[in-house]
Amino acid sequence: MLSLCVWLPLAGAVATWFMRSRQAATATALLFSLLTLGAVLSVVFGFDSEVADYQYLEQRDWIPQFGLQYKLGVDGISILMVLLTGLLTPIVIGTSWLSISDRTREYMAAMLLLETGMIGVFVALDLVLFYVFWEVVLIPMYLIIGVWGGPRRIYAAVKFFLFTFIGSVLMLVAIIAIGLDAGSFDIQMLPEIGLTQSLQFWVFGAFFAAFAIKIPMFPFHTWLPDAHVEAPTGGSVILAGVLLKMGGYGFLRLVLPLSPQAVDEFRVAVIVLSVVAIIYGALVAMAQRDVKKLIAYSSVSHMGFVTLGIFSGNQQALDGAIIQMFSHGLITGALFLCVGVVYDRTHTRLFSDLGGLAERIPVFAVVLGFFTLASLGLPTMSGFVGEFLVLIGAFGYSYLAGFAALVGVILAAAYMLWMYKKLMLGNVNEGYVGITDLNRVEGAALLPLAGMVMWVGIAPDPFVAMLSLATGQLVGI
Amino acid sequence: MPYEWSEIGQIGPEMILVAVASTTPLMWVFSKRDNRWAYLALTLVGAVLAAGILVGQWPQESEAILSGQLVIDQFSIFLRMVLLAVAAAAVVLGLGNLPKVRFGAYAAILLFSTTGMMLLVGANDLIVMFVALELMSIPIYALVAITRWRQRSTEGAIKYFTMGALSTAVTAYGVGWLYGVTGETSFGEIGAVFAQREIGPPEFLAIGLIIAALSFKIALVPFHAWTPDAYDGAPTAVTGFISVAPKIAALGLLLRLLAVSFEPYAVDLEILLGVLAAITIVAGNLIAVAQTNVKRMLAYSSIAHSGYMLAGLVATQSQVGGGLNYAGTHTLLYYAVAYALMNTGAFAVVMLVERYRSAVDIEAYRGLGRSSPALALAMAVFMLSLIGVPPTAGFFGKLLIIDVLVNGGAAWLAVLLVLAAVVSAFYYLRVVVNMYMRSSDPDSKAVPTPDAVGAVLATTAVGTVVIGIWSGWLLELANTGAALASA
Repeated sequence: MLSLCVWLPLAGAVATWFMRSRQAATATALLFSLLTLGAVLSVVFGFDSEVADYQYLEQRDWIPQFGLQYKLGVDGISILMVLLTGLLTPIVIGTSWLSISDRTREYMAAMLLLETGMIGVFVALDLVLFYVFWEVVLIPMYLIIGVWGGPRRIYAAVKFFLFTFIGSVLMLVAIIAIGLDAGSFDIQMLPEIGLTQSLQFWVFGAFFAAFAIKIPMFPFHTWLPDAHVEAPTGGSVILAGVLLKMGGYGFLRLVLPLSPQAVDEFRVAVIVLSVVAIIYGALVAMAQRDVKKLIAYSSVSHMGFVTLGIFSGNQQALDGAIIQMFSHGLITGALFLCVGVVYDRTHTRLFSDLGGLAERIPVFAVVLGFFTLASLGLPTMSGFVGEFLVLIGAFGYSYLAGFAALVGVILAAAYMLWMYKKLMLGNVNEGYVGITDLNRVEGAALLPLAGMVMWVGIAPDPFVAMLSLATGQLVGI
Repeated sequence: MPYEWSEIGQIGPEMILVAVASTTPLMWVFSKRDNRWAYLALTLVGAVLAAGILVGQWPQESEAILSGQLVIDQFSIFLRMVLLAVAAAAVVLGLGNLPKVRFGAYAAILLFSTTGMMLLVGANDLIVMFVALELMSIPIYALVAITRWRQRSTEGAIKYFTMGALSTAVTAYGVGWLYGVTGETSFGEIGAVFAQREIGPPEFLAIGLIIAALSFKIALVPFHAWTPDAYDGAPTAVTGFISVAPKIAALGLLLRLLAVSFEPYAVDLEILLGVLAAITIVAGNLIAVAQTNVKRMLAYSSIAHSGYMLAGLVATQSQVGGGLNYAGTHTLLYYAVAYALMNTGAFAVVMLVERYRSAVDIEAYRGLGRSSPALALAMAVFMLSLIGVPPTAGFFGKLLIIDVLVNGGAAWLAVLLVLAAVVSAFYYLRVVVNMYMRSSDPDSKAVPTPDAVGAVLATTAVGTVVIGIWSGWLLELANTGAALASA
């Protein structure tokens, strides 16, 4: 079943490549992404929250001469990430129907290839397989930014590639060192085997480089604003929605279980960096003139909560970190879609050119308002659940870290509301008289995201239940 | 009769190549026409026959033939096979690239050189080694100069020849020292003599001279100065060949010397080889960054790839029961295949772009993704493989090398290698950027793919991906080949 989730998008990418017309390509891509979503949903609904271990295991030899396996499985840590990927991809493909008119076929194929890589990262249980999927994600995203992006797209694409690649090659060396030390690349078995202490520090360093760049943590975040600003809407949604989560997932899946001693040693440093990211990201977000940049920096801030939660070392914080990742994927994905809606109509993302849009496009104003409130962590929405759990956990670790993170929450309210005001309220820009409100495709794309945000916000129990056994194990280690 | 006929049969592949290469000039006696397809067919039939013999040899026990002058073992069979395939691809590519050249002459010269390389990887004696080195090199000088009316071609050839002659002198001097120090010419006997004594200045000088001489052929920094001009000046089909085959052959020989003759001093040589590999990787990549001519960029990057391959040979590990102690032999074999596929393919694309857009500059690749999607896709695969991004052959090759280095306690070199890969990503991606992210000038021409070149491109591109994913069987073969006989 997991193989189906991983390879169905690839099959779709190949099929899309052979389509003649733009419509046919988009329809094929949408069909395959929906089929994948179906497969993902069946995995999610079949997932047993009472079982702590990996489920849907698949295992066969891949390159036995090198000890490599083709091994897939999901547990509480990965299941929500798989769901997020399965959910966002069809939404992105559907909305790109309108916004991508050049080389649509290739764009759709790249999106599907990206989905194969992303789901693969979350379900791979062999280190080298994990690495292969990790890199497979890199290439289509590089192309999406570089081919369909804005004016400085090439600079942004190359910067994205090189930043991520430098982290990942170091990770490759670490993976091989682990394989040699433990005699296995099996992610399921490795925590039991354990690593020698001196190696743990090297492994921590290399993995930290890879994941801290990907998440991204302060001060490795500089590629993110460039990539977001230049990427097309769909690229931004996937980048913020899923790609950043690969970093957090890497911390949870590999760093915590494999280098526990090093984690203890560097905990304070990472927490400090996380808190800096939360506050710095929020402050920089306030100073932006471009909506996309504002949301990009808000991501830096929000992902700071994730790393804070991961390294606080208690279960509430870990649960919160994962919920926060899931929720950030939904909310920020939706926000980027909203920015795309504005951009498609006005061809600008600068606050100075916008304002008063609420009068022209009232339905959109409500939707954007909803996601703005979700992003700043209003109770009954998913953002609140994640941040609240992380804050409880952070206070459990240290009052100082908790208070500092709390300041981040307040700042988030400030910059998000400020953003909303600049876009929607105030004087109407006379240039935008004839613009249309949300169309059906955009509505259909944003509605499920809003639904999920509310669901997680009001009734988080089933989601937390799915992951609590796995996070409990992580804390136990 | 000093030799058994069956021993002669063991060098059947080489004899077939010599026969084919000698036939082509004879055909001119009967017909003045340069019948390209006839020569191509003759070459390919010869290559297939030779490959058949090699496949037949594979299951055999390794043996030293012709009074111990040549070794037929899985290691040499593996490399002979790779060299044969590279030569066949080069002949096919030459078909379209060399309009004014007598194709028969091109094929014949190329096959003579290939014969030298194939003998080189089986050489087990200093004299055979020397002869094989010359048989490999002298035809290559001619190949570089084969478009003699182009100034760059002759300039490259003269530079190559001058440096090559110097390296021949160094080789001869090294062979003299080695014989003088040990009193033996057979690799095995030399190893036996070295095993009796500690390394001293004479031994070090003898070994150093041989390594330096081979470093010319492999193009290791600081012995690489001839490469850019020779590679750039040569017609592109030739560049593809000489940037792959002689390197592989010379590295094969180097490994045999290290494992058989110099094995007692392996630990002393480790640091020397490590430093050589490190500066080659760093310098090759750094200079490649500054190139805007794709052919020169690939020339410098091929220096870096020599460094990667050498790096695999740096780590030694003591094995119970003596014998082979070069843990990375399989990495050389695997990387040789990977490198042959991706570099031959990349040069084939360069050749087509050069022919139809009359330029080798990076700008000539603009918009290729739109005008020739298949060609651009193949080139993108080669570039990603040269960087070492999965799922490609280049990735798995680097993975094996890193594995050997980390295991052998040379993790510093592994880290250097992957950081160099990041630098290389910068310049290889420039090609991808131009193909996909920049639109071409309206008056730039389409780049069609002739059938013969298309066949080479399809084989190399698909092969690059396939052995990147299903590497098991090739790794199995490489592991078998790594059981190097210390005859």
